[in-house]
Amino acid sequence: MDTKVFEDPKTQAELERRLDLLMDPDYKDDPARQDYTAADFLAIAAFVVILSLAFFIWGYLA
Amino acid sequence: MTDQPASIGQEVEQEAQFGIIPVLPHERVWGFGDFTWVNVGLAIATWAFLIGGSMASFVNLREGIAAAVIGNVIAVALMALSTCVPSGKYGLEQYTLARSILGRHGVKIIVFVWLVAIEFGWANVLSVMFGRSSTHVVNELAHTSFGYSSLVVTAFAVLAIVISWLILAKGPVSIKWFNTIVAPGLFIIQIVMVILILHEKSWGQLTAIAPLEPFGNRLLDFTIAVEFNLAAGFSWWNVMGSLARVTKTKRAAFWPNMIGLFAAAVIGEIVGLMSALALGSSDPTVWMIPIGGVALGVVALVWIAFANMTSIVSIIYSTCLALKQVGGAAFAKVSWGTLTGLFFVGPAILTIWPGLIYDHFFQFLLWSGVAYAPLSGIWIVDYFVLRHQWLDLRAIYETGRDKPYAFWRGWNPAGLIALGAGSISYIIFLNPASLNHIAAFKYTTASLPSFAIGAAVYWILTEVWVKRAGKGGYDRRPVGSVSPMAAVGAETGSTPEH
Repeated sequence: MDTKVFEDPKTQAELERRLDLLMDPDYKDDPARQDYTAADFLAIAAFVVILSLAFFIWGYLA
Repeated sequence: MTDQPASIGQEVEQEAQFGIIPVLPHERVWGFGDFTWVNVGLAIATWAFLIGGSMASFVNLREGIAAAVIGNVIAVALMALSTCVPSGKYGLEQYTLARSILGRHGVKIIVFVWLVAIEFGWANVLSVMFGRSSTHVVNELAHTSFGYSSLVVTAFAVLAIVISWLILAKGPVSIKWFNTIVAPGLFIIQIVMVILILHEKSWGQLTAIAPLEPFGNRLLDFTIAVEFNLAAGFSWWNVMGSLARVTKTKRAAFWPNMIGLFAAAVIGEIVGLMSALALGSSDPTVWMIPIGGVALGVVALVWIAFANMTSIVSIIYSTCLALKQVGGAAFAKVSWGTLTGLFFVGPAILTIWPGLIYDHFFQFLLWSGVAYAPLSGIWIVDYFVLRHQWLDLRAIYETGRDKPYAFWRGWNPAGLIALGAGSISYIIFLNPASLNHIAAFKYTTASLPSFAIGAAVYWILTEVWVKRAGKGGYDRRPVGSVSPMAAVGAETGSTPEH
């Protein structure tokens, strides 16, 4: 077995069970597994840039 | 400590094992609000006072607030994108996931070199802060005058380490209990400090106070303060992936960092900055009695001493857990009590010279930027650009030499070279030990070029070397699982993986 990680056979079996479940092509219902979209990146960039610029102007330039 | 009850060793062992297997949906217990509160609790700690106090050396109040916001918002966002987002998606902590960029043996470099060295320093800083807080209490109550670097400070610092070790040996449950009461107490102390400072000095008076020990070049002093906060933001890297793995959604893995870590840390730093400027000292243990009087000051110092101890316990717990997870069979055989005890030997010896790291705290913190800024850059380019947000979860665990994340016998030289290039570039831009810097530093900071150089070197080496050698599993994303970003690339004419 190439994924042998644990000496304890129960823990190793649990790892195998989880990998089978999570790697299944039909495994799609977990909202945590969604990819970040362009809109997500845009929101993060806007948050960072706006806060940085606003405080740079207020704290350093003003 | 080798004779500890089996249940404690088993409890830790279970947590170590649970940490390196992917979580299932029903084990994802933190929604947006839950993870936000976890982040707030982490950020409200005594190190925020240390960071704020150190900034007072270079900038005034307005500049310091701006530097705290700019440095933290940039670094926490990049840190969270690199570690919380993949950890949240795959339900795995960062050191196991990092096998996809460094190889299963390459990961040991960041654990055994960076993590251990930096947490050695943190354990020393926090134990000395405990020692100095306690010494101030003794001086006030017993009318003595022990110095900040006296043997009494060392004795209290060693006491903090011994007590922390005893708490740690009792396992994770006692740690969680301590943490639930420390943050609210520190938050109350922060509020009381602000009220008392503003009662003594107006906002106008506070903003008019000059920095304590500036270089004299305003832009350079401001950039140093921003850099300090960048390093502080990146330093969360070694903690956050382990926590984000149990978040329920992709947004819950990222945004709570910006509310909790970013906002709560900035507020704590501002309180520290105000105190340091008002009292003319960057050492938080000096502030409490002048601000609150003897009674309130002693209570605050005792609480700060206690808070430092719980921070030491939390830091060393997560570090020793990582050592057990990454260390393989050799570390699995070492009992929990022995491992944590051995870890404390170094920081305990360093307390003989209490000011060695504590009095140069801001330089010590900059080393976090050396380590984690390039690592964040490498991870972001690998996960978002090269792998289009897809990892082969099974391959993370596969150990055969021909497996995707085995690279070359478990090492990815591209990742290690990029990490080295990023770290060296940081030291060229700003040497944390000497504060020597090149002219460009005041316009660029050191963390951001280090982040960019690490990412660029990794990208180039992966394209021209790793991919062509058929290593790294970059061609393995299943057809039909193209990420939205890859799809955007396809629409705009660029070529996604599949």
